[in-house]
Amino acid sequence: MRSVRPLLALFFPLCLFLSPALAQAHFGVVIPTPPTVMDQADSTVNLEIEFWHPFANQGMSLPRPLSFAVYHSGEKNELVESLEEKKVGEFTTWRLAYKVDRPGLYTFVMAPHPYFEPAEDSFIIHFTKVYVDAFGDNEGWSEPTPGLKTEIVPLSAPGALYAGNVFTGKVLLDGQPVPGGEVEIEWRPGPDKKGQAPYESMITQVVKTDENGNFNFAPTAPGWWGFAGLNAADFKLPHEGLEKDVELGAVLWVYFHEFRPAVDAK
Amino acid sequence: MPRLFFPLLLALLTFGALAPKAFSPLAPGSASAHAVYVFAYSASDQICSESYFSRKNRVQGGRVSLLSPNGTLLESGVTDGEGTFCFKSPDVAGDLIVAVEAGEGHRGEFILRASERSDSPSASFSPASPSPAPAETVEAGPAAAGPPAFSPQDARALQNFIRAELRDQLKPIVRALAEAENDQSPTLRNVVGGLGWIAGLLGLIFWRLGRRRPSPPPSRD
Repeated sequence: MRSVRPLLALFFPLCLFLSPALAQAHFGVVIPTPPTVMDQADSTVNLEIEFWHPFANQGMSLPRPLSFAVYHSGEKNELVESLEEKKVGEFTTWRLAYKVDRPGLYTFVMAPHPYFEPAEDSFIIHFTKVYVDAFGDNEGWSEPTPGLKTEIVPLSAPGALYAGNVFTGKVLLDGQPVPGGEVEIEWRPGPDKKGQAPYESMITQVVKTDENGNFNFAPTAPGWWGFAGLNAADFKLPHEGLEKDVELGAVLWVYFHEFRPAVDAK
Repeated sequence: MPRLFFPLLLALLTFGALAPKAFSPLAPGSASAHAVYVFAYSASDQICSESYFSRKNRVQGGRVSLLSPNGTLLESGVTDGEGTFCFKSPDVAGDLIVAVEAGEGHRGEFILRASERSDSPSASFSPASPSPAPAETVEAGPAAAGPPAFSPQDARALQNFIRAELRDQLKPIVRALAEAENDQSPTLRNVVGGLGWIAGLLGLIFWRLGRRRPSPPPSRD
């Protein structure tokens, strides 16, 4: 018996590594196109809202979120009733065309209903955020979003990043920095594309926050990258009569632009 | 560590206190190291422009020009303390270009798209233009056959009259709104944001300092 115990002790952590469900992470997704509004000709931002495995481009269904709000000039507007359902394959996703008519930072935040993940035996709630700068004004990008349970607050201006730039963010939970927290990172290769990873374990990359709740990451490719600061909630939710843990995700989507070579001046 | 800490904190606080006031177009604050932007919108018979380095750093005394798509100068003016200037609506349809020059080669440009324009040339409005004379219409009574003859000119004059009247009536509200929007006093959000900045920067400094010393491995896994 004595020799079995260490084996068991090894077995359970190994299960975690071998579990395919953990190889690719769940991400709340809010993607605006275009990522920045500079010309009135494309001032209608088309938002895609989904719950997805971004790197592998594998879908899940997202019921109509609890909330989808835009913050601009210190005001919050609830837009969840305006979301339009869009089936992608068999999966439910949401769309919204939002007209940006003033300069300034537009912050879009999706709060989903809790989702029970059997593979992890816990609920997942991903508060998912994305920023859109309009007409050159990005004031406020480093400020926390009022009333948001958990979020990543950028320390690098999110609307002006090139692929390869270091991105620094701070994970907040109830307004407090989260030291030693885990941040899962995935690339979103784009519509009808999936990424290629040498090993399944490299689909999702992970960084930890330092003692101040800050993390750094340098993406290797242009496009949308999702950052998910994960925390266990201090509450449980019932599932089939049993109280289950709740994972709170602070998800931020950041666009990294292609850095183009110089051209002749004049 | 304290040797670095206090001068930095002091520098941050000093900068925070001075930066908004010290700004002028010719001696720009740090924000003007970045681009200058101009935004424009239709307001009845005007095209109004806002020029800024950022929301808080407005272009004061900058030269703004209204140009036709082929680059012909239509009007120009100088921005006020809030970075705004309103042009009379020009007799030119379609896209318009608004450009701002804020000194030291800082130039911003904005295309006001035709699809976003709701203005009409102010020149077409004159109080002397034939009025639709509502009194006559009333006198004609229900017996009058057919709708009253309404020329396109009458319609436009009426439209402009309503616009002008609405604008005058709404002026106090617009001003109150603008004042509320431009309120310079720091809100709780600004304060919290500022504290967040300081905490963030200090965090980075500590992180940097912390990296220099070999730290004991964390007790948790």
